[in-house]
Amino acid sequence: MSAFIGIDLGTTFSAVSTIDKTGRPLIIHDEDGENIVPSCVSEGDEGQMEVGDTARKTWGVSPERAAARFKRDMGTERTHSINGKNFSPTQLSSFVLKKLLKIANKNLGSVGEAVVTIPANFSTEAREATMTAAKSAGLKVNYIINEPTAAALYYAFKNGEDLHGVYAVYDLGGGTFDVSIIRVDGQDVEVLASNGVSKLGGDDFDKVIIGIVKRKYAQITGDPLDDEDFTLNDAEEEKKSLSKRKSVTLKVNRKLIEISREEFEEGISTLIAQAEMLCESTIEEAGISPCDIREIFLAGGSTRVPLVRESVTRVFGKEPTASVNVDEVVAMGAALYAAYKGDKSKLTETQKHSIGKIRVSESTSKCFGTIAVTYDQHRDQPTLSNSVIIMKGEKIPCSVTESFYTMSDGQTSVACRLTESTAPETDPRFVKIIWEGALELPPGRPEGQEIKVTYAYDENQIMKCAFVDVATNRRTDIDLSMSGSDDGQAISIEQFTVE
Amino acid sequence: MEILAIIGVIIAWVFIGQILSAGAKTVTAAGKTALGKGTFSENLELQFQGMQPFEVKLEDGNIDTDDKDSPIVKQIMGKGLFPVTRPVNAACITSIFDKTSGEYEPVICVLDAFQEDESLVYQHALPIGEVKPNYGFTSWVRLGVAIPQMIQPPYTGKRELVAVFRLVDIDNLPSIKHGFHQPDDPGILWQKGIDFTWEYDAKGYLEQSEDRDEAQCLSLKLGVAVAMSDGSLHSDEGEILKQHVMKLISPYDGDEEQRLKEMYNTALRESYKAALSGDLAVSSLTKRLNEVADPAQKFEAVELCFEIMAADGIAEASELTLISKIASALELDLDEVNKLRDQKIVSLDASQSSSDGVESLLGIDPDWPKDKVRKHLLGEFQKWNNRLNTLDDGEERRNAQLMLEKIAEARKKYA
Repeated sequence: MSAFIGIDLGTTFSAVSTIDKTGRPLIIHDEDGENIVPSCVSEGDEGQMEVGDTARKTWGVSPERAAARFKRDMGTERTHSINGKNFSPTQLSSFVLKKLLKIANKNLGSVGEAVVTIPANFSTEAREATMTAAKSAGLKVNYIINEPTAAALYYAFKNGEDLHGVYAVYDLGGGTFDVSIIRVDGQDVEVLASNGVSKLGGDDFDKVIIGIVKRKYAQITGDPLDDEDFTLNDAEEEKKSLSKRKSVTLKVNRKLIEISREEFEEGISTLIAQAEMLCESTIEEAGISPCDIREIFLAGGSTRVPLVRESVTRVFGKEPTASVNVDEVVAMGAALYAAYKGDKSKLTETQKHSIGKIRVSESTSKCFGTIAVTYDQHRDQPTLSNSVIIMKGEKIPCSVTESFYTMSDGQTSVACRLTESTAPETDPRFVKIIWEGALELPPGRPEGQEIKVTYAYDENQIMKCAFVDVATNRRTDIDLSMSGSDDGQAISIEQFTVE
Repeated sequence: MEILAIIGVIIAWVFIGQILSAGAKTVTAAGKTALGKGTFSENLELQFQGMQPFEVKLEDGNIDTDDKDSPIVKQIMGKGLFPVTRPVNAACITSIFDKTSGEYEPVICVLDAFQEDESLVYQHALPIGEVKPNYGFTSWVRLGVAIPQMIQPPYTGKRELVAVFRLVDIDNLPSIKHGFHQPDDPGILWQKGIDFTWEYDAKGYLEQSEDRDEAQCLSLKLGVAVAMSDGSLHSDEGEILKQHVMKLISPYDGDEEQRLKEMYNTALRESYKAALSGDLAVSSLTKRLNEVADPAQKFEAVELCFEIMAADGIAEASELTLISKIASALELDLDEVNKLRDQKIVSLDASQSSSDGVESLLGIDPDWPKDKVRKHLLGEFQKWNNRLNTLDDGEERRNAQLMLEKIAEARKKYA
């Protein structure tokens, strides 16, 4: 019988999980017995792509021979070079996913449906790029799930029927930070609000340490420190030490450099301030106050940093819960979600019973709108403006219809644009256009013809949009799969291999 | 919308009133025809024979003659023999002049139905059909209306107005432009002016035009003040001012272009000189701008200031502080001003703005209590975090990241 798997495709580390015979999630170890796999890719001596610890070590000493931290660039045009060959973030992610699939296959024999996690504020392009990477790796992925939601699901499952009320998930990983406010009733998980910062994570903490080391080295020697003499891998190790000790002394080019936790904390304080603001705005969006939150669940390796935990306590007014391995909760939540959303006939009775009470209701993590001409009363002139149709935080499924009107006599087409933003922006410059098309109209009609725009977002994270000319019923329809699910055909890895 | 609806009702009343009063005689004539006492035209002739010379008077009357509750307008009533020597297809045309200054100046109207064909100048036209010598109106008939509620004279205050009534030949239509016609125009069959006064509360159109010019000059002066906030005028800032003047004069040519050019150049020279000597008082400029400009013009002024600030690619705290003061003095909507600011800031290097200037950069009033600052920062954080996610790679995205860092710095400051 094929197993369900959940994959946490992280910025610095990734993990794969499944559900055991009793229906409980468990992490699948790699060949070395490790629970997490570094999200690094390098090229081996014989030209083969290597993923994991070897690649991470290569990246540490010879960054030009390996690629890492590409998750932050998912959905963009950026490329990463390995030995002079350029790879897209999608290609590199597919290598990591393929490695995780290999680990799963080796342990489970056969892998069925998979769920891959993504940060809550991933753009549609980044979501689609993740799905493309998964399919090119040979995974059968019908759903993706936001990382904090997966973590929330795991925490709810782990506590059996004990959780009732509002909780927060604080997910600070290697590259991104997400926070979600959830309502849990037993194993029924409802996301009330979810937000993220795309460039805030342990990686940024490591860069702060590099900055301190470089500054101190220059003070001691009068010379600048070369990048290869103190890498991000080195910084990461020192960061881990500083989470346990008040100071660390390191040797760089035969010079002893001491870093105190205080210095490090001062360096990351601006990042922590951003995290605190994200928490406050998410609490505000959820329409609650910090005292309404019963517990704060942590996820992501960077939550081990003492200042992070202090910050959590400061913002929420209570200490966070840290009873699980924060590196694994997202993957394990994803495995539960894979079983919950997947073909139940592939589950044993025990598994069915175990996950039978799970319910997950998401809310939209973005605003979806369209660009229309509105009248700017302040400037006394017409202006292009983004009109939000589905607000962020709307419970899924949802459907909203709004009317717009043609502007001129004889207008024969309407520009249809689907926009996305994480805040209700009116300025078109600050929204992402994720689809653009036109609705053709019959000629010879006066201005003011009603165009009804309907956006519907369903439980499978599929967005359906319709732009309808009311008088003639002419329409332009768009189906956008936010989960990236398409015709189900796997994309070959070959299309990503480098000539 | 409400104003439009009221105007719509007034128009309806005017048309209904016209139809009712002009149609009254016809109904009488048609009634007799229907009763079998002669033809329709014979009855019209009988109705209009044996009368005094034609005369008109101005009196108050309901816009809808049958509705005593409808608005009161000035109506031109006519009576007597038609002043014609041959049968003429005639119309009554009413113009209004303002003679408060001693000169006849046109008044304008906002509604198409009461405008000359090729201008905004007030005109009411009422075709009355064929009129013949020795025929006329036996009793007072409404032949025109002057609706003071819908006119705009050149200036505000108590206005000395003249309603000029003309009986014209439709087949030889006179050229009436801005209320005036040629003295010997054969299409004018008869005319008379009747004085009346009207207290006009709003700004007159010439006043508005003069204010518009002054508002533009004041905007330029504010722009100079922003440019000179660091003590000197840089070429890129001067270029923005020059481009702005060129944009202002581009719709015009000839004398008007020359006049505007001189006026704006003078404003630039005067304000530059005043700024050099430390005499350019922004508060007096904003005070006057509040008196003469509408909100749209005030936004334009602030927009120009932001453009000047952005000219060197750096968001300077001194410039941002000054613009913030200007916007506040102009009583503009803070959110709208912040939108303008953000559009500029996203393309500027915020890293060079000192930490002392973080308040200006983020639109924080240092006098605000901490709670308000934190709430404001939360809003700014949500906004810029979204922008970081939506902007494409490049300078703007980097600046959005820098703005997030500045917000976090401010958050630490106001923790």
